[in-house]
Amino acid sequence: MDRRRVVLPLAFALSACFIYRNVQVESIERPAAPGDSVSVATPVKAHLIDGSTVVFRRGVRVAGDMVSGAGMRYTLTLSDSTPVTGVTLDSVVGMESFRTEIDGGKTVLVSTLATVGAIGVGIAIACAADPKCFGSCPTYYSDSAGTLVLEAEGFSYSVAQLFESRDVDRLRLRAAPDGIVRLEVRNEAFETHYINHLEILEVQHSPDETVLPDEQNRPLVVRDVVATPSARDRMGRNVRAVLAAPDGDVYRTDPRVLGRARVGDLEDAIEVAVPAPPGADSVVVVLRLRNSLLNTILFYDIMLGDPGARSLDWVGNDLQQVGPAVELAQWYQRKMGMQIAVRGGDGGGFREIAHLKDTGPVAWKDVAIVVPVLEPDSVRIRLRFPADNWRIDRVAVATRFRRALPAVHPLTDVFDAAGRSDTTARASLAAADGRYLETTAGQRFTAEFDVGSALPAGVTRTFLLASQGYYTEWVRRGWLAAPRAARTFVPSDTALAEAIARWRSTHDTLEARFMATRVPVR
Amino acid sequence: MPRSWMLPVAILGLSACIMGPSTRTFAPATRPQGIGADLQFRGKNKRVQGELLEVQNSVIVLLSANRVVRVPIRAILVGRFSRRGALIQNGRVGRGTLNWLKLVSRFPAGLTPEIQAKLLAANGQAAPDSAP
Repeated sequence: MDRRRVVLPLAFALSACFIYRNVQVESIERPAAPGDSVSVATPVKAHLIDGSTVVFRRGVRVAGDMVSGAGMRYTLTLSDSTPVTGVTLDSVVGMESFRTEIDGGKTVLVSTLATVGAIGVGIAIACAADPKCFGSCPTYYSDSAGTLVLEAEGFSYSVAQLFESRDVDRLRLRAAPDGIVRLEVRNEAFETHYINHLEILEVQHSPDETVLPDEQNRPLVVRDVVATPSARDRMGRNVRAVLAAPDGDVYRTDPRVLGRARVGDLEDAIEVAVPAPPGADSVVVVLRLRNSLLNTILFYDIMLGDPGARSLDWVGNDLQQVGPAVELAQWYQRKMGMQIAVRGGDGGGFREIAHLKDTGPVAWKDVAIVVPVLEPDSVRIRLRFPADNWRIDRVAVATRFRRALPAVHPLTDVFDAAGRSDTTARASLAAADGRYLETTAGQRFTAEFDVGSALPAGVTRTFLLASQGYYTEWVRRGWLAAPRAARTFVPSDTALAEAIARWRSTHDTLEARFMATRVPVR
Repeated sequence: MPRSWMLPVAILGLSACIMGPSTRTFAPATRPQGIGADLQFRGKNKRVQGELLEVQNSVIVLLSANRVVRVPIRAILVGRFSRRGALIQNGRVGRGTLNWLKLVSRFPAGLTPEIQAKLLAANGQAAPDSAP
């Protein structure tokens, strides 16, 4: 018998050796309704505050304040073990659940990396921190004479891979004498960041010009930026002075508007008017702003917190599906952020011409929006947004502007926290592709871009950071312990009204608590 | 060779091709300990073996022979881990791998000062040992 008849099927079988078995995370759900319960049939490991560990090899049942199951509790030293039938959620720092799965989608990728890759055990940790602890996206810092300066925060509110987005932020830094732009990238929240791409955009311009991204991340060069002659909010207050300069004196929604916000009446608005420049068909609105924590309440309390552990499934499963993700994205686009409208044209009312998405509550964002001139004498612009969604430092107008094609500076190098070059991280961040750099709470790295030092006389250069990625929130213990809703988040005005109501009652203290719970980086 | 051999051979081959752990075989899923580690350093017979307690950016902490030991990652020549093989080589480890190691350590959320103090006291230590 020909030996090939043995060798060939064996070779075929071995060549198909790409079935990858993985251990993945499963959500652990605590029911909201009394009498209801949730069961997890796979192994669960609970880390307790006192350092002991409970292993539930056959899973758990979660009901009320208890995690129940046939478990074994091990002391900190592992010298003793005691059978237990459950633990209270209050005693738990974090829980992990494990599930074996065959992941067809990852099989090829993981197989090709099998000799060097990690096996990808997914573990969900329910952090013991305050449910409203610091939450943001990657934060970017520059070194200014030995002091780290917050420059930007990236892809805010991209809470699932389908929401992965690209952000462009104006940087105030200058290149170092060696022609290098250095940014320290931090994960300061109880989140996992998946950073896909980083690059620097450069626009050269004259010293009397300013470069800003527009609402679609395109660089815009403006000059002759002036405060608006008039600005009034929804209550008719003259807010011109507070919006005139980027001085830290910020606009907040009038407490009366915030106090009466309810379904059907959830918004605030600012109207500004400027004389129409002779012969111009457009002007540019220049904004400096950042989000209040209303959005944080909406995301963390309402979307993720109220459903408790159901949110793990919502983020991990539902939002990976196009339908639910699109539904959420469309609702979010309609309701959140800022709608910019200009008066005039058909019908004479306000016409919406741009939407500015939420930018995050940590770093100030400078942005410019081109507005068409639709009336002969004046340009009346309305900024409409959910009540108290923004802290607005400046609203100004530029009558002269031009588009700019930026030079692109790719990532040159990445250094870990110990200062060692990390070529794998650099490769992950070099292009907007299927490779991501994953960071967890407390991690940081330095990204370097070689932008060159040669510059023609009389030319100023402005750098913008383009970042792309998404992030996932860690489920807080408080969310597991006290779910308020028996189902996952449903986009609705009712949800937004509830977020505003909670924000109204907590905003006095929440901002200070929020910043105080920033995760220190190592 | 009879054709009846071919199917069993193929099935045997395919069954051997399932890679990676299951919850039954992956110790961190079913036991309290963190993953087992075997760290070798430059120099003859320099090695530390034990349970992975905690992973920081540049240091990992093991429980080795009833001693808490801190090991700078840059000092590790080869770091092998149970069912995973060599994940650290010449003091270098990928960020993704480091994240994974953190998650399969005994204390994925980190060793608090209180818990570290208890561990040290239980092992008769005033402070962690340093290796190599």
